[in-house]
Amino acid sequence: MMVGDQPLVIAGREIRNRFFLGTGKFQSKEMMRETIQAAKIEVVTVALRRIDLHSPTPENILDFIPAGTVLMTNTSGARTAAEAVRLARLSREAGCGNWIKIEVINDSRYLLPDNLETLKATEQLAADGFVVFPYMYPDLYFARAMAKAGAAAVMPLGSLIGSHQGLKTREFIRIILAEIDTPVIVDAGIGTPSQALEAMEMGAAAVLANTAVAEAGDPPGLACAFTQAVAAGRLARLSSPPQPRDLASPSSPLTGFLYSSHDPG
Amino acid sequence: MTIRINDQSLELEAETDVQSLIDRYLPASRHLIVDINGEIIRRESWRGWPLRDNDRIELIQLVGGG
Repeated sequence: MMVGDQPLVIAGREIRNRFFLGTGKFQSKEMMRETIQAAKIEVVTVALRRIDLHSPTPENILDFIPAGTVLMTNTSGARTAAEAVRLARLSREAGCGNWIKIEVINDSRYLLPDNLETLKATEQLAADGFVVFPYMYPDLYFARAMAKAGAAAVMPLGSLIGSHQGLKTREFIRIILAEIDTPVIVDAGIGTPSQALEAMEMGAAAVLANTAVAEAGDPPGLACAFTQAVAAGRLARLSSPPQPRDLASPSSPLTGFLYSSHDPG
Repeated sequence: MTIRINDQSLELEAETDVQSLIDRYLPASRHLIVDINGEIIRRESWRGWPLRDNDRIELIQLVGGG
């Protein structure tokens, strides 16, 4: 955490590292653990899947997530609000806490979230005591409705999941940031630390990435870079940097020149 | 009796309960979720929860995801 900053507090939990990490796609669970530890990740996402009775996964992912890490279970695989609600309840039953990233996707080509179904799930799960984080297309009306329904934060996508295209939706995320008080966590499509930094400079409360880190040549290294970039972006935001202007503004005094004929350019 | 687990058929002897099913197939699994016919069965209820012919069982676990 940087000078002058406060931790992000969600459901009474203080979070200092505002870079959240997804746990999918890592080459090994050992690499995932090393990445979480190296970057001091505090919040990770996990998913729920059926077990294949004939070849059950021998390792339990929870054995590789350091104690004290906050688990946020996603509802990936849900195509409707009802399916997302069921997955959330299954997660809570499994002892994974009640932080849920609501993810309702009907489209297999672009993996875009279905905002209407996501809102319905947000309403039901928030009323049922879950701490909900709806993953959403950055639409102001839905963001407002999700916040009103009790979302702990909204999670607008920066660009398509796993695309590394960064903040393609920046202008719409800006509007949400300006118009709602609920924390905004930018999720999906964030491929580089500079993109995460920009989201934080814009005023995001946190950034979540998965694929970029998991597919990096050095996942722990990139996760550390993301953590530092997110902290730098946060500090920049808090420090109120000046706005761009059209003309130069000298940073050295314009008096007392050594050469009297000098014409300041 | 025949039950369906994650859409696969499995023959079981009569009077098998959830706990013995887990013990046989997934002895090392923790944070395992059991859902029978759409109802989540809490871990403390596994022992003595009878499986019945044509039960539809889902066994679910946590995996990596973003």
